[in-house]
Amino acid sequence: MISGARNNPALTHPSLWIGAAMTAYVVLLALIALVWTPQDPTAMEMAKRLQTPSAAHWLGTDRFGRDVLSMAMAGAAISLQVSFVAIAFGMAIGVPLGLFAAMRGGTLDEAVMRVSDFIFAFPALLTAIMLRELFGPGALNAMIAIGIFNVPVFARVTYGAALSIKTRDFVTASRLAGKSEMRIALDHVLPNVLPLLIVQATIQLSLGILAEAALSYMGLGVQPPAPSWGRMLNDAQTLMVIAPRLALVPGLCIVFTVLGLNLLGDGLRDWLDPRLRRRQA
Amino acid sequence: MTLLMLDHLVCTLDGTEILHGVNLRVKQGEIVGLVGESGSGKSMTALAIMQLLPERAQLSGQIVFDGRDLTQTSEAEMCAIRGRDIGLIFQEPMTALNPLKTVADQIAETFMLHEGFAYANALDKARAAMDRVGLEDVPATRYPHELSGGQRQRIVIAMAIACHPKLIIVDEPTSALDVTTQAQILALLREITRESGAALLFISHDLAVVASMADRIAVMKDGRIVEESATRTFFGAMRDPYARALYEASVHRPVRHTDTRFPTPFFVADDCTRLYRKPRLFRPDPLPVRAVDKVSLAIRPGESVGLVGESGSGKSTLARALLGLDPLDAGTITLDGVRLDPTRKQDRLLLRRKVQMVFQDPYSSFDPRRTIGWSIAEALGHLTGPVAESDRMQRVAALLAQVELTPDFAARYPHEMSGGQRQRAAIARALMTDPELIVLDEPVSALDVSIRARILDLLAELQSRRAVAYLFITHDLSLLRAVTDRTLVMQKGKIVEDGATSDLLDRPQHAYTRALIAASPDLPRI
Repeated sequence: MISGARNNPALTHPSLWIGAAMTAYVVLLALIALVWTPQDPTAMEMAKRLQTPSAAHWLGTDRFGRDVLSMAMAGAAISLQVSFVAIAFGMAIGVPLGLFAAMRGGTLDEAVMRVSDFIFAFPALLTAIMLRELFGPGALNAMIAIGIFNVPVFARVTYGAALSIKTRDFVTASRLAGKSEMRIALDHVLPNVLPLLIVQATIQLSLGILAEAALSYMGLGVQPPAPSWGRMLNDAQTLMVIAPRLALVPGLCIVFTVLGLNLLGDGLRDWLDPRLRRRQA
Repeated sequence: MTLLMLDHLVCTLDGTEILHGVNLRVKQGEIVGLVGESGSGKSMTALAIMQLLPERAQLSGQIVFDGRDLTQTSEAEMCAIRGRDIGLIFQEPMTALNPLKTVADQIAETFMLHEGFAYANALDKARAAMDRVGLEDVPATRYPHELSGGQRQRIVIAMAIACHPKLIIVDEPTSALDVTTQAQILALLREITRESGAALLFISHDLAVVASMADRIAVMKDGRIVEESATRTFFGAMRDPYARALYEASVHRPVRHTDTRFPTPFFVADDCTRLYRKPRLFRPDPLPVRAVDKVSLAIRPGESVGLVGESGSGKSTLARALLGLDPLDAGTITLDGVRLDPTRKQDRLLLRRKVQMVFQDPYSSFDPRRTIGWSIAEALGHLTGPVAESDRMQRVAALLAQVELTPDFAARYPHEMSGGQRQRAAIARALMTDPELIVLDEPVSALDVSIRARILDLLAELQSRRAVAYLFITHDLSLLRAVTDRTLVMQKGKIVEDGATSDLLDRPQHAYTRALIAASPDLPRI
């Protein structure tokens, strides 16, 4: 869908390639962390606690003597996993719902969109706490909690865009060609909504990273000993004065990832939108 | 005395020369019409006079207005000239007005800015200006969205003439308006220029409108003025081949062979009614509008029927109902003697095989993400039995050939084609199921006049070859005469007059038909 660009996006949209490079870097680190980290991120060695950066431990160690670099890398893997799965969950339910509501119209449309408003109105973190009370903490529940709140986001984006696509003449032409509403939704509406969804997904991914960090900071996300950026922040809290580095590393990781994804999203929007306009005009 | 003089105006944009030495004079109190097709540079010329070209544009030559060269004038001085000495009226009044301010405030702003009035006085002047342009009944506190298109254009005119400019530039002022509203706006412009002594530079693609307005006509093509003379002598003395071609395309009538072998109608609609209800959640709107009110019509094979009316008259709603796109609230549709119920899928598919459509806007009638070939073949497998891939390609190529496009167009995307090519492809798509009736909703109104003539020829030729009937929806009466046998006039959801097109246009019976005819500008025959 994004192929066939006439001008080089790297030159015309700097935020696109800066964002893409930053995101690619984080994803690469996370992928490496899945198979290899410099040290075992869960191995505690009390003799080596609170070491400053050295050749053996590039970013030093924490108060249990764990290697901070390894923890940050493993944390990246967890963060990305949780938010990828959550956003995929949100899209898998939200996009068909929004598409369905827009194509059907009428009372059903109202019902679907009001339910999504209802979910939207719920404070996300409170619900996450509630889910923990019900099902216990863990990565899976974090994914579900973040995922649920992405459903209305994707439902609305899809719904709004689909409504405007639906009024275009080529959709009428497709109905005249004997196609069913469902078929039209898949053949015409979805492909035309896709660029918007890609942009939205990128932005939601960055929000997902933040939400995952917030949840694990509060102890609602992945459970120890699995490392995560949020819990690294929490652990570092009491040691702020002695070892500020321990808070800075996960903090900067979050900032870097979120910034990268946001730049990527902005860049994608700039890059995809004018093309759409040019094709229509 | 010459008020405005363009002397060898050359404009370059991104290294491409767009205007190649335009020479034009506008005398005081004169109406000069500037005609050309899209891309001819007529709007660029207007922007150059106003010094509103994009920053990267480079100008050479002179624009002498009222004794001073505007190309040498600073932006600060231009700000004073714009609006005070030169008024500008755009095509689409909605975008020229600020949606967040009342219309009177917007007119008042002109007085405050250029004549130093205090707000209260400026508001009084604004009220007077509104009265002047025939908006006596419109409260000053209205917002643009509360007015009709014609009223909005009047507001823009009030703003443009507020400070008694010496020159008014109007760029396609009526192409977004209905024919009767257009006539009113044109009359207003004529009256204002006569009264105030202002000169008018009238830019349009429509030769007939320009001829009805201007004292002098200049024809523009590819950044040059190719023909210029007084309106009285213009049509008798056209020398330039392009000006001639433009005229001929404007009055073009395709050669038609009306087939009268089949006297019995195959498509009959009886007492069709379509209500428009405001969307409500739980109970239906108690006061629905009768968008289509008990309309009956019958179409014979190979016949060409016109459906004319202003926007809001219900003609598009009727077409959608006839195509089975929207359900009928009452009435029946009979096709080849079989009464159809478009709410049933089988009947709907039958209807679609036999009745197809071509849309007004060739830009939105193709999915930008699909190739033209894909779109043309869309009906295969849905309205027909399953079709093999190779067969599919062959049928697309055959249809493209029928509309005089080469087979390689099948692989192109809509944005790689011109408006005229897209409209040809749209006709090819409509022909895919070999329909008996094609509904053409303003099929040429978005096209340039020369392309339009060729599309009309194509439609006429297809009709004589395939004996397909057309239902031509349009607001353009000259088009009706050229391409239809019979015309239905629609007003407020009802058919008010029905008859052979030539009779109906020459001897209209209904007052509404007469009003439409009176409002339509026509070109002199040479």
